[in-house]
Amino acid sequence: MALALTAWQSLSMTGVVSPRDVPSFTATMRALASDVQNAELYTSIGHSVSAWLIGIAIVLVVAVPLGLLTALSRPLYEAMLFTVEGVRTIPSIAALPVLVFIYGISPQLTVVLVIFTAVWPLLIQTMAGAHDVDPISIQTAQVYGLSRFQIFRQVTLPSALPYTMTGIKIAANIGLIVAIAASLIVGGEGLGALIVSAAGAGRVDLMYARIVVTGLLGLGVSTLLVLTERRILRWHSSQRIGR
Amino acid sequence: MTSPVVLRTLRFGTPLGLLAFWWFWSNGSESLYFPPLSDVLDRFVEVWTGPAFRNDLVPSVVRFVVGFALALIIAIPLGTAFGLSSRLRRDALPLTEFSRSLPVAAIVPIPLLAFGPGFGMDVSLILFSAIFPILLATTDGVRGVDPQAVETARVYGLNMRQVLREVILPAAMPPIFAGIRVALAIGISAMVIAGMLSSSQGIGAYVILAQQSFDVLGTWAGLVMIGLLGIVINGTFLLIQSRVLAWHTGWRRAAKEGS
Repeated sequence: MALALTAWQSLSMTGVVSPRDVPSFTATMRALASDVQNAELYTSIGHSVSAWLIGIAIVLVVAVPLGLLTALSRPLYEAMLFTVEGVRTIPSIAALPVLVFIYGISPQLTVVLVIFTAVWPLLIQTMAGAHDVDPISIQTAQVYGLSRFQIFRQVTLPSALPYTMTGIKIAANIGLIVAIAASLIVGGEGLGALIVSAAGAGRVDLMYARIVVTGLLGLGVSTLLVLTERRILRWHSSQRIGR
Repeated sequence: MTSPVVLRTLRFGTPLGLLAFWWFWSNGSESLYFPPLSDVLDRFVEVWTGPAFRNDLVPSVVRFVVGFALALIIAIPLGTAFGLSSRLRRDALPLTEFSRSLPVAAIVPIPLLAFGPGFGMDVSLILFSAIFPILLATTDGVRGVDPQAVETARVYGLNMRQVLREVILPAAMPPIFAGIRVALAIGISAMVIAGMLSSSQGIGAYVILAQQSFDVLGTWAGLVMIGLLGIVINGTFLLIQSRVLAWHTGWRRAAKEGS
Protein backbone atom coordinates (compact mmCIF):
# COMPACT_ATOMS: atom_id res chain seq x y z
CA MET A 1 0.00 0.00 0.00
CA ALA A 2 2.71 2.42 1.02
CA LEU A 3 4.59 1.37 -2.11
CA ALA A 4 1.61 2.23 -4.33
CA LEU A 5 1.22 5.63 -2.68
CA THR A 6 4.93 6.37 -3.08
CA ALA A 7 4.69 5.36 -6.71
CA TRP A 8 1.71 7.66 -7.21
CA GLN A 9 3.54 10.57 -5.58
CA SER A 10 6.82 10.10 -7.43
CA LEU A 11 5.11 9.58 -10.79
CA SER A 12 3.44 12.97 -10.71
CA MET A 13 6.35 14.73 -9.00
CA THR A 14 8.93 13.57 -11.52
CA GLY A 15 6.57 14.53 -14.31
CA VAL A 16 6.25 11.07 -15.85
CA VAL A 17 2.55 11.80 -15.95
CA SER A 18 1.53 15.42 -16.19
CA PRO A 19 0.29 16.83 -12.86
CA ARG A 20 -2.50 18.39 -14.90
CA ASP A 21 -3.91 14.89 -15.56
CA VAL A 22 -2.86 13.17 -12.35
CA PRO A 23 -2.24 15.39 -9.32
CA SER A 24 0.22 14.17 -6.72
CA PHE A 25 -0.98 12.30 -3.67
CA THR A 26 -0.17 15.24 -1.41
CA ALA A 27 -2.03 17.69 -3.66
CA THR A 28 -5.07 15.38 -3.62
CA MET A 29 -4.94 15.14 0.17
CA ARG A 30 -4.69 18.92 0.46
CA ALA A 31 -7.79 19.27 -1.74
CA LEU A 32 -9.52 16.65 0.36
CA ALA A 33 -8.65 18.48 3.56
CA SER A 34 -10.25 21.67 2.27
CA ASP A 35 -13.23 19.83 0.80
CA VAL A 36 -14.22 18.17 4.08
CA GLN A 37 -15.03 21.65 5.40
CA ASN A 38 -17.37 22.16 2.47
CA ALA A 39 -21.03 21.64 3.36
CA GLU A 40 -21.85 20.82 -0.25
CA LEU A 41 -19.86 17.62 0.04
CA TYR A 42 -22.08 16.36 2.84
CA THR A 43 -25.37 17.32 1.23
CA SER A 44 -24.23 15.55 -1.97
CA ILE A 45 -23.24 12.43 -0.07
CA GLY A 46 -26.60 12.67 1.68
CA HIS A 47 -28.50 12.85 -1.63
CA SER A 48 -26.67 9.89 -3.14
CA VAL A 49 -26.81 7.75 -0.01
CA SER A 50 -30.47 8.44 0.79
CA ALA A 51 -31.63 7.62 -2.76
CA TRP A 52 -29.53 4.46 -2.59
CA LEU A 53 -30.91 3.47 0.83
CA ILE A 54 -34.54 4.01 -0.17
CA GLY A 55 -34.02 2.00 -3.35
CA ILE A 56 -32.29 -0.86 -1.54
CA ALA A 57 -34.98 -0.91 1.18
CA ILE A 58 -37.71 -1.27 -1.44
CA VAL A 59 -35.72 -4.00 -3.19
CA LEU A 60 -35.31 -5.91 0.08
CA VAL A 61 -39.01 -5.75 0.85
CA VAL A 62 -39.97 -6.95 -2.64
CA ALA A 63 -37.25 -9.39 -3.68
CA VAL A 64 -36.65 -11.39 -0.51
CA PRO A 65 -40.27 -12.48 0.14
CA LEU A 66 -40.89 -13.04 -3.56
CA GLY A 67 -37.73 -15.14 -3.91
CA LEU A 68 -38.55 -17.19 -0.81
CA LEU A 69 -42.10 -17.74 -2.02
CA THR A 70 -40.68 -19.68 -4.97
CA ALA A 71 -39.64 -22.37 -2.48
CA LEU A 72 -43.33 -23.02 -1.79
CA SER A 73 -44.64 -22.81 -5.32
CA ARG A 74 -42.91 -24.64 -8.14
CA PRO A 75 -45.07 -22.99 -10.85
CA LEU A 76 -44.10 -19.55 -9.55
CA TYR A 77 -40.43 -20.55 -9.64
CA GLU A 78 -40.68 -21.79 -13.21
CA ALA A 79 -42.59 -18.71 -14.30
CA MET A 80 -39.95 -16.39 -12.85
CA LEU A 81 -36.71 -18.23 -13.63
CA PHE A 82 -36.18 -17.40 -17.32
CA THR A 83 -37.81 -14.01 -17.06
CA VAL A 84 -35.50 -12.86 -14.27
CA GLU A 85 -32.43 -14.49 -15.86
CA GLY A 86 -33.22 -12.71 -19.12
CA VAL A 87 -33.94 -9.29 -17.68
CA ARG A 88 -30.86 -9.22 -15.51
CA THR A 89 -28.53 -9.54 -18.50
CA ILE A 90 -29.82 -6.17 -19.70
CA PRO A 91 -27.60 -3.43 -18.24
CA SER A 92 -29.98 -1.36 -16.13
CA ILE A 93 -28.09 1.85 -16.85
CA ALA A 94 -29.62 1.65 -20.34
CA ALA A 95 -32.94 2.59 -18.76
CA LEU A 96 -31.54 5.88 -17.50
CA PRO A 97 -32.42 8.00 -20.58
CA VAL A 98 -36.01 6.75 -20.65
CA LEU A 99 -36.30 7.32 -16.90
CA VAL A 100 -35.12 10.91 -17.40
CA PHE A 101 -38.10 11.40 -19.72
CA ILE A 102 -40.47 10.12 -17.07
CA TYR A 103 -39.06 11.50 -13.82
CA GLY A 104 -36.89 14.38 -14.97
CA ILE A 105 -33.66 14.94 -13.09
CA SER A 106 -34.90 14.20 -9.59
CA PRO A 107 -34.24 12.01 -6.54
CA GLN A 108 -36.99 9.64 -7.75
CA LEU A 109 -34.97 9.01 -10.89
CA THR A 110 -32.05 7.71 -8.82
CA VAL A 111 -34.30 5.64 -6.57
CA VAL A 112 -36.02 3.96 -9.52
CA LEU A 113 -32.69 3.27 -11.22
CA VAL A 114 -31.32 1.71 -8.02
CA ILE A 115 -34.42 -0.50 -7.77
CA PHE A 116 -34.15 -1.63 -11.40
CA THR A 117 -30.50 -2.49 -10.89
CA ALA A 118 -30.53 -4.15 -7.49
CA VAL A 119 -33.71 -6.19 -7.61
CA TRP A 120 -32.48 -8.85 -10.09
CA PRO A 121 -29.33 -10.13 -8.37
CA LEU A 122 -31.12 -10.33 -5.02
CA LEU A 123 -34.08 -12.13 -6.55
CA ILE A 124 -31.81 -14.60 -8.37
CA GLN A 125 -29.75 -15.34 -5.26
CA THR A 126 -32.80 -15.77 -3.01
CA MET A 127 -34.48 -18.04 -5.56
CA ALA A 128 -31.31 -20.11 -5.84
CA GLY A 129 -31.10 -20.34 -2.05
CA ALA A 130 -34.74 -21.33 -1.71
CA HIS A 131 -34.14 -24.17 -4.16
CA ASP A 132 -30.78 -25.40 -2.99
CA VAL A 133 -32.10 -26.90 0.25
CA ASP A 134 -30.77 -30.31 1.11
CA PRO A 135 -33.66 -32.66 0.19
CA ILE A 136 -32.70 -35.03 3.00
CA SER A 137 -33.25 -32.25 5.56
CA ILE A 138 -36.72 -31.65 4.16
CA GLN A 139 -37.54 -35.36 4.18
CA THR A 140 -36.27 -35.66 7.74
CA ALA A 141 -38.45 -32.75 8.81
CA GLN A 142 -41.43 -34.37 7.08
CA VAL A 143 -40.79 -37.64 8.90
CA TYR A 144 -40.78 -35.75 12.17
CA GLY A 145 -44.22 -34.46 11.27
CA LEU A 146 -43.40 -30.79 10.73
CA SER A 147 -46.04 -28.88 8.79
CA ARG A 148 -45.25 -27.22 5.47
CA PHE A 149 -45.02 -23.87 7.17
CA GLN A 150 -42.73 -25.20 9.90
CA ILE A 151 -40.45 -26.75 7.29
CA PHE A 152 -40.35 -23.46 5.44
CA ARG A 153 -39.44 -21.58 8.59
CA GLN A 154 -37.02 -24.01 10.16
CA VAL A 155 -35.36 -25.66 7.16
CA THR A 156 -35.77 -23.60 3.99
CA LEU A 157 -35.31 -20.17 5.54
CA PRO A 158 -32.00 -20.77 7.36
CA SER A 159 -30.68 -22.68 4.39
CA ALA A 160 -31.52 -19.85 1.96
CA LEU A 161 -30.16 -17.10 4.20
CA PRO A 162 -26.47 -17.30 3.12
CA TYR A 163 -27.54 -16.97 -0.54
CA THR A 164 -29.75 -14.02 0.32
CA MET A 165 -26.88 -12.32 2.16
CA THR A 166 -24.66 -12.75 -0.92
CA GLY A 167 -27.48 -11.28 -2.99
CA ILE A 168 -27.79 -8.30 -0.65
CA LYS A 169 -24.06 -7.62 -0.90
CA ILE A 170 -24.13 -7.68 -4.72
CA ALA A 171 -27.34 -5.62 -4.87
CA ALA A 172 -26.05 -2.98 -2.45
CA ASN A 173 -22.75 -2.60 -4.27
CA ILE A 174 -24.13 -2.26 -7.79
CA GLY A 175 -26.96 -0.12 -6.46
CA LEU A 176 -24.36 2.33 -5.15
CA ILE A 177 -22.58 2.32 -8.52
CA VAL A 178 -25.71 3.37 -10.42
CA ALA A 179 -26.76 5.86 -7.72
CA ILE A 180 -23.49 7.68 -8.35
CA ALA A 181 -23.55 7.09 -12.11
CA ALA A 182 -26.99 8.71 -12.38
CA SER A 183 -25.88 12.08 -11.03
CA LEU A 184 -22.59 11.76 -12.90
CA ILE A 185 -24.33 11.41 -16.27
CA VAL A 186 -27.45 13.54 -15.99
CA GLY A 187 -26.36 15.97 -13.26
CA GLY A 188 -28.61 17.03 -10.43
CA GLU A 189 -27.62 16.56 -6.81
CA GLY A 190 -25.26 13.82 -5.74
CA LEU A 191 -21.66 12.73 -5.46
CA GLY A 192 -21.38 12.05 -9.19
CA ALA A 193 -22.43 15.59 -10.06
CA LEU A 194 -19.91 16.90 -7.56
CA ILE A 195 -17.08 14.97 -9.23
CA VAL A 196 -18.11 16.33 -12.63
CA SER A 197 -18.33 19.89 -11.32
CA ALA A 198 -14.76 19.65 -9.97
CA ALA A 199 -13.59 18.35 -13.35
CA GLY A 200 -15.54 21.05 -15.16
CA ALA A 201 -13.89 23.74 -13.03
CA GLY A 202 -10.47 22.36 -13.97
CA ARG A 203 -9.78 21.36 -10.35
CA VAL A 204 -8.25 17.96 -11.04
CA ASP A 205 -6.91 17.67 -7.48
CA LEU A 206 -10.42 18.25 -6.13
CA MET A 207 -11.86 15.75 -8.60
CA TYR A 208 -9.40 13.11 -7.37
CA ALA A 209 -10.19 14.02 -3.75
CA ARG A 210 -13.89 13.44 -4.38
CA ILE A 211 -13.21 10.17 -6.15
CA VAL A 212 -11.25 9.11 -3.06
CA VAL A 213 -14.28 10.08 -0.93
CA THR A 214 -16.52 7.97 -3.18
CA GLY A 215 -14.10 5.05 -2.89
CA LEU A 216 -14.10 5.35 0.90
CA LEU A 217 -17.90 5.39 0.86
CA GLY A 218 -17.90 2.21 -1.22
CA LEU A 219 -15.34 0.62 1.08
CA GLY A 220 -17.41 1.59 4.12
CA VAL A 221 -20.54 0.07 2.62
CA SER A 222 -18.78 -3.21 1.71
CA THR A 223 -17.16 -3.47 5.15
CA LEU A 224 -20.45 -2.84 6.91
CA LEU A 225 -22.15 -5.50 4.81
CA VAL A 226 -19.46 -8.10 5.48
CA LEU A 227 -19.71 -7.40 9.23
CA THR A 228 -23.52 -7.70 9.11
CA GLU A 229 -23.22 -10.95 7.19
CA ARG A 230 -20.82 -12.31 9.79
CA ARG A 231 -23.21 -11.43 12.58
CA ILE A 232 -26.33 -12.81 10.97
CA LEU A 233 -24.65 -15.96 9.72
CA ARG A 234 -22.57 -16.64 12.84
CA TRP A 235 -24.03 -20.15 13.01
CA HIS A 236 -23.21 -20.99 9.39
CA SER A 237 -20.11 -23.02 8.54
CA SER A 238 -18.85 -20.53 5.94
CA GLN A 239 -18.35 -17.92 8.68
CA ARG A 240 -16.72 -20.11 11.28
CA ILE A 241 -13.20 -19.30 12.33
CA GLY A 242 -10.57 -21.55 10.88
CA ARG A 243 -11.89 -21.42 7.36
CA MET B 1 -47.72 -31.80 -8.16
CA THR B 2 -47.98 -29.77 -11.29
CA SER B 3 -47.26 -31.67 -14.47
CA PRO B 4 -43.91 -31.12 -16.23
CA VAL B 5 -45.68 -29.83 -19.34
CA VAL B 6 -47.31 -27.02 -17.39
CA LEU B 7 -43.99 -26.19 -15.72
CA ARG B 8 -42.16 -26.04 -19.04
CA THR B 9 -44.90 -23.86 -20.51
CA LEU B 10 -44.55 -21.50 -17.56
CA ARG B 11 -40.78 -21.42 -17.86
CA PHE B 12 -40.67 -20.42 -21.52
CA GLY B 13 -44.13 -18.92 -21.78
CA THR B 14 -43.85 -16.22 -19.10
CA PRO B 15 -41.13 -14.12 -20.78
CA LEU B 16 -42.86 -14.50 -24.15
CA GLY B 17 -46.19 -13.65 -22.55
CA LEU B 18 -44.75 -10.51 -21.01
CA LEU B 19 -43.32 -9.43 -24.37
CA ALA B 20 -46.70 -10.07 -26.01
CA PHE B 21 -48.38 -8.11 -23.24
CA TRP B 22 -46.03 -5.16 -23.85
CA TRP B 23 -46.78 -5.34 -27.58
CA PHE B 24 -50.56 -5.27 -27.17
CA TRP B 25 -50.64 -2.90 -24.21
CA SER B 26 -48.48 -0.33 -25.98
CA ASN B 27 -50.28 -0.82 -29.29
CA GLY B 28 -51.97 2.46 -30.16
CA SER B 29 -50.51 3.97 -27.00
CA GLU B 30 -50.86 7.72 -26.89
CA SER B 31 -48.38 8.04 -24.02
CA LEU B 32 -45.51 10.31 -24.86
CA TYR B 33 -42.82 8.19 -23.24
CA PHE B 34 -44.13 4.68 -23.87
CA PRO B 35 -44.56 4.52 -27.63
CA PRO B 36 -46.04 1.41 -29.25
CA LEU B 37 -43.52 -1.42 -29.33
CA SER B 38 -44.12 -1.87 -33.05
CA ASP B 39 -42.99 1.72 -33.67
CA VAL B 40 -39.94 1.15 -31.46
CA LEU B 41 -38.98 -1.92 -33.47
CA ASP B 42 -39.46 -0.07 -36.77
CA ARG B 43 -37.16 2.65 -35.49
CA PHE B 44 -34.74 0.05 -34.15
CA VAL B 45 -34.32 -1.46 -37.61
CA GLU B 46 -34.04 1.96 -39.22
CA VAL B 47 -31.39 3.20 -36.75
CA TRP B 48 -29.19 0.13 -36.63
CA THR B 49 -29.14 -0.45 -40.37
CA GLY B 50 -28.13 3.20 -40.79
CA PRO B 51 -24.87 5.05 -40.07
CA ALA B 52 -25.28 4.46 -36.30
CA PHE B 53 -24.26 0.85 -36.89
CA ARG B 54 -20.78 1.84 -38.01
CA ASN B 55 -20.42 4.96 -35.87
CA ASP B 56 -21.78 3.72 -32.55
CA LEU B 57 -22.43 -0.02 -32.38
CA VAL B 58 -19.18 -1.29 -33.91
CA PRO B 59 -16.88 0.99 -31.83
CA SER B 60 -18.68 -0.02 -28.63
CA VAL B 61 -18.38 -3.73 -29.35
CA VAL B 62 -14.71 -3.46 -30.41
CA ARG B 63 -13.79 -1.48 -27.29
CA PHE B 64 -15.66 -3.90 -25.08
CA VAL B 65 -13.87 -6.90 -26.58
CA VAL B 66 -10.42 -5.25 -26.34
CA GLY B 67 -10.97 -4.02 -22.77
CA PHE B 68 -12.37 -7.32 -21.60
CA ALA B 69 -9.63 -9.35 -23.27
CA LEU B 70 -7.00 -7.20 -21.53
CA ALA B 71 -8.79 -7.72 -18.21
CA LEU B 72 -8.65 -11.49 -18.72
CA ILE B 73 -4.98 -11.44 -19.77
CA ILE B 74 -3.98 -9.43 -16.69
CA ALA B 75 -6.37 -10.75 -14.05
CA ILE B 76 -5.98 -14.51 -14.48
CA PRO B 77 -2.16 -14.72 -14.15
CA LEU B 78 -2.13 -12.09 -11.41
CA GLY B 79 -4.94 -13.84 -9.56
CA THR B 80 -3.10 -17.14 -9.83
CA ALA B 81 0.00 -15.52 -8.31
CA PHE B 82 -2.11 -14.03 -5.50
CA GLY B 83 -3.72 -17.39 -4.92
CA LEU B 84 -0.37 -19.14 -4.62
CA SER B 85 1.43 -16.58 -2.47
CA SER B 86 -0.14 -15.45 0.79
CA ARG B 87 2.58 -12.79 1.10
CA LEU B 88 1.68 -11.21 -2.22
CA ARG B 89 -1.98 -11.40 -1.32
CA ARG B 90 -1.44 -9.66 1.99
CA ASP B 91 0.67 -6.91 0.44
CA ALA B 92 -1.84 -6.16 -2.30
CA LEU B 93 -4.96 -6.51 -0.16
CA PRO B 94 -5.54 -2.84 0.80
CA LEU B 95 -5.12 -1.76 -2.80
CA THR B 96 -7.37 -4.45 -4.30
CA GLU B 97 -10.03 -3.94 -1.61
CA PHE B 98 -10.13 -0.19 -2.17
CA SER B 99 -10.18 -0.41 -5.96
CA ARG B 100 -12.81 -3.12 -5.87
CA SER B 101 -15.16 -1.08 -3.67
CA LEU B 102 -14.66 2.04 -5.74
CA PRO B 103 -17.97 2.57 -7.53
CA VAL B 104 -16.83 2.28 -11.17
CA ALA B 105 -18.86 5.28 -12.24
CA ALA B 106 -16.84 7.57 -9.99
CA ILE B 107 -13.59 7.05 -11.89
CA VAL B 108 -15.04 7.79 -15.35
CA PRO B 109 -13.73 11.40 -15.32
CA ILE B 110 -10.13 10.18 -14.84
CA PRO B 111 -9.72 8.46 -18.23
CA LEU B 112 -11.93 11.14 -19.79
CA LEU B 113 -9.40 13.75 -18.68
CA ALA B 114 -6.30 11.64 -19.30
CA PHE B 115 -7.17 10.21 -22.74
CA GLY B 116 -10.02 12.40 -23.88
CA PRO B 117 -13.18 10.78 -25.23
CA GLY B 118 -12.55 7.82 -27.50
CA PHE B 119 -10.90 4.44 -27.72
CA GLY B 120 -8.38 4.81 -24.87
CA MET B 121 -10.94 6.07 -22.41
CA ASP B 122 -13.50 3.36 -23.11
CA VAL B 123 -11.00 0.51 -23.13
CA SER B 124 -9.31 1.59 -19.90
CA LEU B 125 -12.66 1.99 -18.16
CA ILE B 126 -13.92 -1.43 -19.26
CA LEU B 127 -10.57 -2.93 -18.26
CA PHE B 128 -10.67 -1.32 -14.81
CA SER B 129 -14.25 -2.34 -14.08
CA ALA B 130 -13.88 -5.92 -15.32
CA ILE B 131 -10.50 -6.74 -13.80
CA PHE B 132 -11.42 -6.98 -10.10
CA PRO B 133 -14.19 -9.59 -10.16
CA ILE B 134 -11.95 -11.86 -12.27
CA LEU B 135 -8.90 -11.19 -10.10
CA LEU B 136 -10.74 -12.01 -6.89
CA ALA B 137 -12.45 -15.09 -8.29
CA THR B 138 -9.14 -16.42 -9.60
CA THR B 139 -7.39 -15.76 -6.28
CA ASP B 140 -10.14 -17.54 -4.34
CA GLY B 141 -10.35 -20.34 -6.89
CA VAL B 142 -6.61 -21.05 -6.79
CA ARG B 143 -6.57 -20.83 -3.00
CA GLY B 144 -9.46 -23.25 -2.78
CA VAL B 145 -7.71 -26.06 -4.69
CA ASP B 146 -7.44 -29.20 -2.61
CA PRO B 147 -3.85 -29.18 -1.25
CA GLN B 148 -3.83 -32.99 -1.30
CA ALA B 149 -4.38 -32.96 -5.05
CA VAL B 150 -1.38 -30.65 -5.42
CA GLU B 151 0.79 -32.81 -3.14
CA THR B 152 -0.24 -35.98 -4.92
CA ALA B 153 0.73 -34.45 -8.24
CA ARG B 154 4.11 -33.40 -6.80
CA VAL B 155 4.70 -36.91 -5.45
CA TYR B 156 4.11 -38.25 -8.95
CA GLY B 157 6.97 -36.03 -10.06
CA LEU B 158 5.11 -33.22 -11.82
CA ASN B 159 7.03 -29.97 -11.70
CA MET B 160 5.37 -26.75 -10.54
CA ARG B 161 4.45 -25.69 -14.07
CA GLN B 162 2.78 -29.00 -14.78
CA VAL B 163 0.96 -28.89 -11.45
CA LEU B 164 -0.31 -25.45 -12.34
CA ARG B 165 -1.52 -26.52 -15.76
CA GLU B 166 -2.83 -29.98 -14.94
CA VAL B 167 -4.17 -29.60 -11.41
CA ILE B 168 -4.57 -26.05 -10.13
CA LEU B 169 -6.00 -24.21 -13.14
CA PRO B 170 -8.60 -26.85 -14.08
CA ALA B 171 -9.76 -27.02 -10.46
CA ALA B 172 -9.97 -23.22 -10.25
CA MET B 173 -11.86 -22.96 -13.55
CA PRO B 174 -15.48 -23.03 -12.22
CA PRO B 175 -14.98 -20.10 -9.78
CA ILE B 176 -13.01 -18.19 -12.43
CA PHE B 177 -15.95 -18.53 -14.81
CA ALA B 178 -18.32 -17.29 -12.12
CA GLY B 179 -16.08 -14.24 -11.71
CA ILE B 180 -15.99 -13.65 -15.47
CA ARG B 181 -19.78 -13.62 -15.56
CA VAL B 182 -19.95 -10.91 -12.92
CA ALA B 183 -17.23 -8.97 -14.77
CA LEU B 184 -19.21 -9.18 -18.03
CA ALA B 185 -22.22 -7.46 -16.48
CA ILE B 186 -20.11 -4.69 -14.93
CA GLY B 187 -18.02 -4.33 -18.10
CA ILE B 188 -21.10 -3.85 -20.29
CA SER B 189 -22.41 -1.21 -17.89
CA ALA B 190 -19.02 0.53 -17.94
CA MET B 191 -19.11 0.54 -21.74
CA VAL B 192 -22.53 2.22 -21.71
CA ILE B 193 -21.63 4.70 -18.95
CA ALA B 194 -18.41 5.70 -20.73
CA GLY B 195 -20.34 6.50 -23.88
CA MET B 196 -23.06 8.37 -21.99
CA LEU B 197 -20.54 10.61 -20.28
CA SER B 198 -18.20 11.31 -23.16
CA SER B 199 -21.10 11.64 -25.66
CA SER B 200 -18.70 11.20 -28.54
CA GLN B 201 -19.01 7.74 -30.00
CA GLY B 202 -20.56 4.48 -28.95
CA ILE B 203 -23.93 3.11 -28.05
CA GLY B 204 -24.08 5.00 -24.75
CA ALA B 205 -23.42 8.26 -26.57
CA TYR B 206 -26.16 7.41 -29.07
CA VAL B 207 -28.89 6.97 -26.42
CA ILE B 208 -27.91 9.99 -24.36
CA LEU B 209 -27.87 12.21 -27.45
CA ALA B 210 -31.27 10.83 -28.50
CA GLN B 211 -32.58 11.56 -25.01
CA GLN B 212 -31.19 15.09 -24.97
CA SER B 213 -32.87 15.84 -28.30
CA PHE B 214 -36.18 14.41 -26.99
CA ASP B 215 -36.16 11.69 -29.61
CA VAL B 216 -38.25 9.20 -27.60
CA LEU B 217 -38.37 6.51 -30.28
CA GLY B 218 -34.63 6.82 -30.85
CA THR B 219 -33.96 6.47 -27.12
CA TRP B 220 -36.06 3.33 -26.98
CA ALA B 221 -34.30 1.96 -30.06
CA GLY B 222 -30.98 2.47 -28.27
CA LEU B 223 -32.27 0.86 -25.09
CA VAL B 224 -33.45 -2.20 -27.02
CA MET B 225 -30.03 -2.46 -28.69
CA ILE B 226 -28.19 -2.29 -25.35
CA GLY B 227 -30.50 -4.95 -23.95
CA LEU B 228 -29.94 -7.13 -26.99
CA LEU B 229 -26.18 -6.65 -26.67
CA GLY B 230 -26.34 -7.74 -23.03
CA ILE B 231 -28.32 -10.85 -23.91
CA VAL B 232 -26.05 -11.80 -26.84
CA ILE B 233 -22.81 -11.28 -24.86
CA ASN B 234 -24.14 -13.30 -21.92
CA GLY B 235 -25.48 -16.01 -24.22
CA THR B 236 -22.11 -16.32 -25.96
CA PHE B 237 -20.41 -16.56 -22.60
CA LEU B 238 -22.75 -19.29 -21.35
CA LEU B 239 -22.12 -21.23 -24.56
CA ILE B 240 -18.35 -21.02 -24.07
CA GLN B 241 -18.72 -21.92 -20.41
CA SER B 242 -20.78 -25.01 -21.11
CA ARG B 243 -18.10 -26.12 -23.61
CA VAL B 244 -15.10 -25.43 -21.39
CA LEU B 245 -16.69 -26.72 -18.20
CA ALA B 246 -18.39 -29.71 -19.83
CA TRP B 247 -16.06 -32.03 -17.91
CA HIS B 248 -17.01 -30.31 -14.65
CA THR B 249 -20.79 -30.59 -14.97
CA GLY B 250 -20.40 -34.08 -16.39
CA TRP B 251 -18.25 -35.10 -13.46
CA ARG B 252 -20.71 -33.59 -11.01
CA ARG B 253 -23.62 -35.47 -12.53
CA ALA B 254 -21.65 -38.71 -12.44
CA ALA B 255 -20.73 -38.11 -8.80
CA LYS B 256 -24.36 -37.43 -7.93
CA GLU B 257 -25.69 -40.52 -9.67
CA GLY B 258 -22.95 -42.70 -8.27
CA SER B 259 -23.70 -41.83 -4.67
